[in-house]
Amino acid sequence: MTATIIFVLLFTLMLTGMPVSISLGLTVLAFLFAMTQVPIESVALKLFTGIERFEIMAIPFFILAGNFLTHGGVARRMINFATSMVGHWHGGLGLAGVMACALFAAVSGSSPATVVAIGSIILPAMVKAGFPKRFGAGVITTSGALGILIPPSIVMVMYSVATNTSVGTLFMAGVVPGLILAFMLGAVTWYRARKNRYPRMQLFAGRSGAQASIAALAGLSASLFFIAAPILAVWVLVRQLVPEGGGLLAVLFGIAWLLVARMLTHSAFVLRWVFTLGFLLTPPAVVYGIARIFLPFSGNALLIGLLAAWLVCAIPLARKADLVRGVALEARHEALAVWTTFWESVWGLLLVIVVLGGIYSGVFTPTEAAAMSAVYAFFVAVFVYRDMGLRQVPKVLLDSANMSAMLLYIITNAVLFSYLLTSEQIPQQMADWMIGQGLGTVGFLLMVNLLLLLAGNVMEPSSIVLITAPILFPVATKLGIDPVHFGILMTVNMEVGMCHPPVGLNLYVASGITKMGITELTIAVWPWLLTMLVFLVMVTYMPQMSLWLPRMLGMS
Amino acid sequence: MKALDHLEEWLIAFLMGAATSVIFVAVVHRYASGIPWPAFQDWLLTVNLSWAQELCIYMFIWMAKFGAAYGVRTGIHVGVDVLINRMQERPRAAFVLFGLLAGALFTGIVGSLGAKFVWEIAHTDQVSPDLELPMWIVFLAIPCGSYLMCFRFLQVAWSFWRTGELPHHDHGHVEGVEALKDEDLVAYALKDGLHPRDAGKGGAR
Repeated sequence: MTATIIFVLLFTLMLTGMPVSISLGLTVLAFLFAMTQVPIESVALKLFTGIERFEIMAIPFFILAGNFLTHGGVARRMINFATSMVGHWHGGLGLAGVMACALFAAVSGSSPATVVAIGSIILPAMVKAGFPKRFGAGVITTSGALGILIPPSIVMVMYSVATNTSVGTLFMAGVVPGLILAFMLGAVTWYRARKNRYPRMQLFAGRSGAQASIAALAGLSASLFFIAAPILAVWVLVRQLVPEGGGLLAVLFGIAWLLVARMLTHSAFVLRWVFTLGFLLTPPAVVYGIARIFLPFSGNALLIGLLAAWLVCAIPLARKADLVRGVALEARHEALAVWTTFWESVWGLLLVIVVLGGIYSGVFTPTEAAAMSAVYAFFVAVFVYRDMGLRQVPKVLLDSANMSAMLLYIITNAVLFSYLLTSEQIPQQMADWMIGQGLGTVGFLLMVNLLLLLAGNVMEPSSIVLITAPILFPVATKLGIDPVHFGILMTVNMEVGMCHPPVGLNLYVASGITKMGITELTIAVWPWLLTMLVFLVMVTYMPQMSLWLPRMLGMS
Repeated sequence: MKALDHLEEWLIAFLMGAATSVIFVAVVHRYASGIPWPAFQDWLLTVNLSWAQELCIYMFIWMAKFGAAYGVRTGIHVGVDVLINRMQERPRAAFVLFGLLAGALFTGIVGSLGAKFVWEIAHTDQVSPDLELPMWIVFLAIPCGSYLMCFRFLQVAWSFWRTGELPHHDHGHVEGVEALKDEDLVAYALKDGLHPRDAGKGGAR
């Protein structure tokens, strides 16, 4: 009964079009005033103490970091890197768009921001290259949604605030589903581009797709090898020599190396040796890495054996074809493009390590990692890439403050609302009722998906998560559903909601960039939207997909 | 009026930047004081930054309260407007006004409750755990922020009544991004000129 009154009141107020935060707050005030003896003075205090938690403060920090990156030309460099990697396949720039969205999602926690950052650069470029407008808009609108699935993610922070789940674990759980979704969206893009014969980016005439792919991979492995090998070597050495405080020394060396490495990347001599060593060492390292993950044993014997076997095979080959020149010459074109664009965008890519590495290794709490990434993004935008002057900083701060204040205001009122629900014991009642209906796990998850997809039609993600999570979460716990899995499921639902009308924020952003109408955009996104729905079913009924990585890292 | 607008903007932008810097310094301090660096380490260890987290939280709450008021002015607070956007002009205007006035009502009530609460707590000697600030100063954010927000709601309602226009926040608009030059659009236009132009423009090389 009370539950009915509260929800009818809430929905009526919401439908009048007032801000969601205000309708939440007014519902609580009205209910407390009319129906209970609870002193309403406590409301004012709750509005303060509701958000008095350090975990929530990750949200403004991530928004600030995202804004610095959007302004800072990081997106443009990531697009160049992605194009050099996958541009030669069918759908060239479209595929590059998917990959750039996935990369940018790994440094930004919001979907619309990802669409703006990548879309405003790549969509005009795609039209110029001869893609239909609809195709580009469809790709970017949906791929931009990766922003909230690939960590960091503001929606996941919201979920963790509402349910007390660990943010770090949620972030790690988002990695694998995010990569799978990116892959699926890429596959659809590739298929449609191939079917409709859209242009690919043939950078170098007379190169087949396979040649270009192999060369691009060679370029990538050389870049990764050059960036990681010296740091790993020093780290291993330092651990042997200086047991105390060695980690810090290794970190300092890593930073110094990054500064020096960038200067070396233009030298032809360095390039040649990196390519050769990369060619010799990468295949055994990859095999070893895969074996370490999937086979129960581990050991250096395996690595040494692989290395020896590979060298025995490779060196005679190399002498025959004059490896040093041969590999470098054969792979030169695409590999060089990948190499150059990688080193251009390396400062943006490293942010992934600051956030995920920092949280996983326990160096930072999630909030601290968010603050560090904001400072890092500021530094990169203003001093490294210099796409932004110091004079623009106050404007960025103001914009970020505006956005974060809006989200924090919704959180405050949602906390107030869930306090009302809890004090009336509504979540427990609803949980008992739902379980009394004989809904199994499968039925319950189906119902949750439908409910969230419906809610995605009228509200934006933060409000949906904050309002529904406290109600649905107790039921999920009773049914034995993993909280982390449930969080990923909600996030994917929010993604779908952002890409379809009437309120999909991504659509509006994309429509702002492309000047296309919402109806036309809706038609444009459907192939990818369908893919996302298939993916949603996969995420819902395959908990291993989200839980595998955190379990392997020992986080849950 | 202009002065109030500017004060509001400067306050929230400052709080945003300051809170970020505080946490950054605290984290750097935590790791720097672990380095066995003679004298310097001793000095670092005498600096106590355990209050940083609390300060950051308070700064962000202040930012949230005043930023929410600024958000009313910029139209960033979104509601469920699917239904009312399909209505005729006049009923829609009535609902918009109702929403704005409801916002003013809510923030007005909360502001008054907060003011009463601050008044009561000012007569106690409660201080915050780490910073040892008097709590009434910390809680002052609620009445001040809420009253300002109430004022902003009334302001927006008044201008809507007069001109029929609402502030609108455009999520697709990012400063600086639209100022892209033409050469940025050519994929691969990298500074070093290592190559790449796309093959469509006769760029076989």
